[in-house]
Amino acid sequence: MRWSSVLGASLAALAIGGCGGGASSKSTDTSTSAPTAGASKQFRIVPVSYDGTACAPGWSALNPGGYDFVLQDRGSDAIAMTLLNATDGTAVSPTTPVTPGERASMRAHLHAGGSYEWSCQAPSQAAATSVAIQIPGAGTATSAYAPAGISIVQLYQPLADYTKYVSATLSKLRGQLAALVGSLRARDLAGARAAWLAAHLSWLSLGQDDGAYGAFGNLGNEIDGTADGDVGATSSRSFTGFHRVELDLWGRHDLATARADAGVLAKLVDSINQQALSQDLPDTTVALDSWVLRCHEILEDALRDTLSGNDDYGSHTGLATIGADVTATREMLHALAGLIAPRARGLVPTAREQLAAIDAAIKPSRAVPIPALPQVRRQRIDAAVGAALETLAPVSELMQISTTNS
Amino acid sequence: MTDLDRRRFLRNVGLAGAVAGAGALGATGIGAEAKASGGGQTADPLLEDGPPGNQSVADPAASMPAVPFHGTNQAGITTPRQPAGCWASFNVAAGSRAELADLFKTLTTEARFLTAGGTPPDPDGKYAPPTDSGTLGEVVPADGLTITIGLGSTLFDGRFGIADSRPARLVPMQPFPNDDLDPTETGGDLLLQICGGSPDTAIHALRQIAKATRGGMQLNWLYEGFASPARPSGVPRNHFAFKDGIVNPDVIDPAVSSRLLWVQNGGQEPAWTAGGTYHVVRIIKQFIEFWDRVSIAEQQQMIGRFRGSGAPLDGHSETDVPNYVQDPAGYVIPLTAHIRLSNPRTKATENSRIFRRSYNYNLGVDLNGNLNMGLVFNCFCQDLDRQFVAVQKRLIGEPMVDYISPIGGGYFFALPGVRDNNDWYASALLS
Repeated sequence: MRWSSVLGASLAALAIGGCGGGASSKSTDTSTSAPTAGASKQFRIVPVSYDGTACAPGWSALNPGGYDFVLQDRGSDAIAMTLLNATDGTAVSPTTPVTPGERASMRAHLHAGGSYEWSCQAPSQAAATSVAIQIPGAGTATSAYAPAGISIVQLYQPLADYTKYVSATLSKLRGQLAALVGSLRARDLAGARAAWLAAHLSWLSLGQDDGAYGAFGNLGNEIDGTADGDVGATSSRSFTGFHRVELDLWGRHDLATARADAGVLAKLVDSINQQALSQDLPDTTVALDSWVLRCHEILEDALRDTLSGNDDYGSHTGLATIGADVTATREMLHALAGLIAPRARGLVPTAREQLAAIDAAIKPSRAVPIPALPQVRRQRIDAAVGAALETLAPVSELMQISTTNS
Repeated sequence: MTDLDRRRFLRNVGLAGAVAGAGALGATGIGAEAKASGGGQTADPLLEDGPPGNQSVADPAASMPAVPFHGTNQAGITTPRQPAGCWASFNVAAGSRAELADLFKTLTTEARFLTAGGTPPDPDGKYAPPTDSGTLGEVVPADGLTITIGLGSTLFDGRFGIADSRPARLVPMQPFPNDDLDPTETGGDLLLQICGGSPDTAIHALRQIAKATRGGMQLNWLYEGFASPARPSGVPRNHFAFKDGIVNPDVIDPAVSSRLLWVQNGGQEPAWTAGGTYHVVRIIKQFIEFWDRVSIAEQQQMIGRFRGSGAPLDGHSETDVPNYVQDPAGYVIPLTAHIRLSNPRTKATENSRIFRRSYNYNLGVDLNGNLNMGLVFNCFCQDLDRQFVAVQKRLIGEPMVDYISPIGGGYFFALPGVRDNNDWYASALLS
């Protein structure tokens, strides 16, 4: 019940991306229908062009149904074409690139009662928009089939809420790192290990892990990266942060080195600009795009790095790590829930249930190397994480920012 | 004479006569007996045999033709990619330069026979266990077999007095920033790339070679790979479903191969290396579960091609050449797309082009329940630094790195070819 069936029912109508992969030509499939319903339908071919100034000249009356639009750029610049719901300007197709002299195809459904227009965006110019056409019949363009695009403005509030959470967690983290350094100064190994774990879990609950998707840039990797890719492995100078201290405390039992390495770690965390997430808000579509990715990519990292045992440098706290990753994911989901819910009914409650299932599967989260867990137990965790990931995978597409609407 | 006795007799006759016919003859005999012994009794279906289990390809005509073993260059490099292959890294256990030369001579003898095919000596093992494992039948088919031998930098340490002859660029493979190299699956003194018409052909060759060289070298790591059939046409797909290996320099043209592939006489390379080439193997794990949770639009932006057709994002078919000049801002093919970073198609980067020859691998299940799948990336180049390393540096941090993890492989120097029946691998190095 928890796996795909719940989601399958509610998301079938969305079918993000469709079955993709046009047979031989460049094509984007937004035939936003359930595979059973849409697969056998005939798609009518309609050419749409950009002539260098006008977008889709000749865009005129069409009946409801599925269309293969053949996009052609007769201008001199590469452009991006998007089919819009004319009533609110949201995208009903992905933005499709077309180069001069070339064709591209894009598949979409036009719904009875809907109103549609084309946007042609050339680099560093205002987008050209076509006339709007009205599809005969009753209904609206914002059907259950197509998720409306997100405008950048809609992400400001969720991001502001999330930033507040990040700031609070960061100050907690700084206190925990001070406790770590204090324990090491007092040569208290047990105390240092406890402080390390508390601090590491705080860091993970920021959804950073090694910072691959973070707003902290390379700092993320310096704070929590593994030695993978470092020439000289764990003895490399570029191997810094939580895992280096972990190795000191559990592998090397070297308190003096740990103290120096923990000092470096505390400095790295101090250097995070608390406003990093929001400082350049107005025009960071890209940054926001990567922010919404975290909704599933935090757990992707957990699956890849932690459940494989790859990021365990001796503390064997992988289960607790997964718990913190769940916390971080839940925070992301909470921030975006209001935007996700109308676009994918059922996704948010399903994901919440599945996150709770992960929490249940990792308990008791005592210190144990994950590869040493009995297979049955490990598989239960893998299944819970895998199920949540499959549910969360569409979020980045759902949250795609429609550039034509900002 | 009982049925059983007759069967033995027939089998022996068959072996003494037409070797290839023996199996078929024996099988027919068994079937005939079963029916005969049924007599007038009611047949018990549980005792009946079904039709012979010969669903797999058994037609010897399906084997690929032999690839010539002798030549200026080794086979298995510009040879069209065969369907199956294996990559085996060995450390050399030979104790002296003379023993090392013996090892290469033995390797030559084995490879010369296996790639040509034929009846192995003493197939029945009358006085000793048989010389051939027999997994390919009594007559070994050539089946397009190629055996390509490369030397690792560790072979040029102090053991054999050849340290001064090390190819100029040959070093241990150092990790790139996105790598996760496992030392037990990286490097080695010697690499065997064995490719052929089917997996059993390749693994049979490895088994024979390992048997013949047991005291001279020992296995470090082994990967088996396959090249998928065209789906539905054109270049085969990798596990990410994208056609892989569409663009390669035309190394059949000597004007190209002399600049990009084969080490030439003169220059800073030792003389013995002429006709050889650097062989890069990268075992690249692919996180296909993660990949499958990514929209096709994002997948295509990462690669720079359409998943279905293999065409570049500004084209129609896989053979279309992307036009980067027309798209300097990366509006159609992003500046970070894999195809664009690896081969920017500029005058300045043309001499960094590499010749790729990769295979897919499947290796069971990962610790976290994921499928353990990936790519045995192979490329050959005249100058490791100018070509492969330069390309790989351009790819550091590309968006695709989240979905892959290079975990092993190594840098090797693929020897010049064995010229004729009197020549042997590495003769120019060790004579």
